[in-house]
Amino acid sequence: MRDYPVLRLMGIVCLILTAGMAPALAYAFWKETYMVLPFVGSALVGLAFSAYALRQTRDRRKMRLSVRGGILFMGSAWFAMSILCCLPYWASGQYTLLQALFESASALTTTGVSCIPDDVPYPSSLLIWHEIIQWLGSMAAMVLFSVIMPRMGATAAAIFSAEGQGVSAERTLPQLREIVRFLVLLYGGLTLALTLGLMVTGLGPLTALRLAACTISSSGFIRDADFVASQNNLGLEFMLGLFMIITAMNYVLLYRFLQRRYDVFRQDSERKWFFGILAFLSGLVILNLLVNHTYDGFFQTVRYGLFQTISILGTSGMASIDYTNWPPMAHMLLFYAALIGGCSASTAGGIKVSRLVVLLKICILEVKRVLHPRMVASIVMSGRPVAQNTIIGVTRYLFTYVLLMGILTALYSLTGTDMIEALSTIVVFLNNVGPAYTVLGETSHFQYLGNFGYIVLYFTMIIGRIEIVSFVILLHPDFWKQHKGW
Amino acid sequence: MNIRIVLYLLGKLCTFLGAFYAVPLLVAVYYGDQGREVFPACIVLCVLLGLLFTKYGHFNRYSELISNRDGILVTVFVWILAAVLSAVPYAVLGYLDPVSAYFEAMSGLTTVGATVISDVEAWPKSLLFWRFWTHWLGGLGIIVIFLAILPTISGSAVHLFNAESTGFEEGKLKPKLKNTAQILFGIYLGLTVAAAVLLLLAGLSPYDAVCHAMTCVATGGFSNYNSSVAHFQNPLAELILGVTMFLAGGNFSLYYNVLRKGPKTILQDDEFRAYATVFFLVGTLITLNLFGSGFDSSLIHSFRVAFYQTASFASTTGTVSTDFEQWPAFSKLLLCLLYITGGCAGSTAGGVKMSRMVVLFRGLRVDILHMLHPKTIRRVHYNGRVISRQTMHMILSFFTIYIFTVTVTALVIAATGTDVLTALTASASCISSAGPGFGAIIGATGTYAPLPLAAKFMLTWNMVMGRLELFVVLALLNRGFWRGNSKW
Repeated sequence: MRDYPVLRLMGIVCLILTAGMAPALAYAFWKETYMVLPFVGSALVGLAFSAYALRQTRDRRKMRLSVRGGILFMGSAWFAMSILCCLPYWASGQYTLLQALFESASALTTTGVSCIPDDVPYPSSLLIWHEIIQWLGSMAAMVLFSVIMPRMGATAAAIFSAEGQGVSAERTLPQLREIVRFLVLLYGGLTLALTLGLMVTGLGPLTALRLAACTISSSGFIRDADFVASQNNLGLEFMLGLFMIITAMNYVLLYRFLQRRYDVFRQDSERKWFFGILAFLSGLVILNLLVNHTYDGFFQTVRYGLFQTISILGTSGMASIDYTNWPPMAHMLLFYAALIGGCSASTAGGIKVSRLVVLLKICILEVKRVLHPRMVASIVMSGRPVAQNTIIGVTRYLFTYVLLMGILTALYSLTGTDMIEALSTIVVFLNNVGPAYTVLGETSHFQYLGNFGYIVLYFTMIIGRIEIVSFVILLHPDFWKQHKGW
Repeated sequence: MNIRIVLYLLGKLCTFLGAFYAVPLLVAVYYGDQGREVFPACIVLCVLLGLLFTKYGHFNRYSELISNRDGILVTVFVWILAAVLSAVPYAVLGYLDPVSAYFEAMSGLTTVGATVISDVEAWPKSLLFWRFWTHWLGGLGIIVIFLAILPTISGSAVHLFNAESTGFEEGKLKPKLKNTAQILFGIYLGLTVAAAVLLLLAGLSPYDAVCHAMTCVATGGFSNYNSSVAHFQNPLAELILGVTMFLAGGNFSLYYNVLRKGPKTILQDDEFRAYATVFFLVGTLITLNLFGSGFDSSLIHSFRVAFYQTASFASTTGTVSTDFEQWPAFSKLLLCLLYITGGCAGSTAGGVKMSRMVVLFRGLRVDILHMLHPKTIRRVHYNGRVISRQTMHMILSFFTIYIFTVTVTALVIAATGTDVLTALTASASCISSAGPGFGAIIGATGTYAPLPLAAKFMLTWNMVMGRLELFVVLALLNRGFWRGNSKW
């Protein structure tokens, strides 16, 4: 790797991940001595790499991230991280290499699907490791997309940033270092707050912490997939639902809110639309469930319908009930919710609300233009007109998204699934939802997937997490050629 | 809104339709079947309506301009009125309920080819002929309207069809409207006659040969057998039909240029090259998938069914030579992707259209290059012309609207209790004017008959939207459209 800042960033990320091994290692020493060696070995590999990377890049004066460096880091960081993180899984001997990669990518990208079925014992230290990396991976994605990408120049911002010049790119934001620190604190603070909230509803401290970490990271990975359903605890579901909504919002916007910049918060189009879409989708789901008499009472229908919509829209994918028997329209709505995902610069995956809003506004504008051919109008987000570049970038994003989704679905279907299962699996992985039941109502088993299936899903998860476009750019041969003009 | 112009034009349509009813009447007289009772009545009805409309309507071609709004109204209502009038024989003879009859008629006229008839072989021959005749007329109407008439309308009405891909390819055809229409009609008729004669030689009965030639040239998809083309089990006929469908999915004005400037032009056309590439790529992949997965033990047979079905979906025709519902999911998903790409602009095919796909792909490539080399300026070229930002924006918006329309209408269909796969593929299939969908209900051997009436009604709108390239029909949803506003 020639790129100086990229190597340094990788070294730092690697060091953080290695540090994350500490709790798992401690637990292994305490209870599961057979897992000590795998963790120690992986930690050594991680330390060796980060030591090398940081030694090579001691000179801070060269730390200027170029556009190419940014793309390179975006495109390769998740691959590199998943390789480091898969080592403990692999070394435990329970997984093949591909399964280990799948498992670590599933944690890092906050998809939250495990290829070890519920009834097979899962070493507790690995479970701790899984939860740590999903929490860290989600934080990394949130920080990267909220503050680093929008500052990488206009071209990059138009392509990556879902909102173009939105709240994340405001001039009045503090220095990079400070806002990163603040966002990390906010992320940790939310996790702690949810832990306390869950403890109030009657969970033990440790269970509460783990559930909080998987909710705030929007991963939704719980070892016992029926945990929330089996608790049947309204307070618990309310807490989870509330924090799933919060974590699916733009973190920079939350930061502004905490700064008491309520005007920014009130004006933000994406926030308004996010709640609008949430109300619309959950309203339709509830209506559909009511009309079909899926549940007895009105209250129960609202409870399940609302929780499930929030969970899928925020791409957590937790289930408070088995929704495989829901009517087709409700399934379809959840399917669309998975495609939409949360707000930009949140921990959620998906197309993102801001992009969807821009796309919707384009549709409305173009249909109006049929009537008024000479109309001059612009698309407004948060009180500011959206640049033409961004509009083209967002529509292009949709095209790329549909294209890649089609290709990946076709590839995945080669593992022998039927059409709808292939489609729903790819949607669930591409948007990092990963629930216990796939959105269209088939229960999937990932432990029997062949090697080919693991490879396809591995790439699907990572492509989804790095917002597709950076992956497409990496595929272009020009990217890898030596260039002067960067 | 000038209601008199709208009435006048719709009246003209009724009169034409009455004249066209004469052909199935002749068929009915020849075969001596039930059609003799209903077709004369249809002619009378159409002519009377025509007289009524033209009496109250008024349009002076020389002194009056059709406004933007009237243009939209006429375009949409022409299809709806034509479908209503074409549905009369199905409903009057009691074979179908009114909504299903309307669905069948709309499916015929828009060359979709989705059918609601579960046992088509029990129908009288003249009534079946009427189905093919609507396909053929619908296809002809599209070719002539989109290629010959619309580009010559001056003024604001042109903007309506800027979205239509022919908009960024103007100047390909001779400007004289009458002349162009004649040439296009000649090509369309010639292709039909050639296909019919070849099919006859391949051993089909004259009736089957004519009907299937019409359905394939119009890229429709109806058949007079329950198992569609699979009924014949005739490789030669499948080859002829396959080639006809493939050609019918190409740009008809390109064929005109081929006749004028020699066969080289066809290879220089960006769109046709992409169309052929996609066709061969998908066909080969499906062949390999069928053979490789052990679904079909014979390579020759997999080749035959794979390429036939690919031609059928690439041209959005939708005739069926094998029960592809049984195929591995990979092959079926590839066929689904063809729903989106569709055929070429300037043909009777539907979908996003190859020309737009080519521009979208090249645009993506240029964007990536621009990311990599921010200081260079690159443009998207299409058939030697530079695509302006404005056009690029229109095409990207079209794609966006296409995806949104499919997803929203699929949701409406799912709301009637239809399963997700059926809802999604039915919606995409009808917008792309393909016909068959996937799943237990509307798969290769199925029909749309079991769907709820509400779903059928929604799908008729999908057909019109797909046919009119979305924008025009969606404009009707605009509140501003219905407000009295003099500034049109």
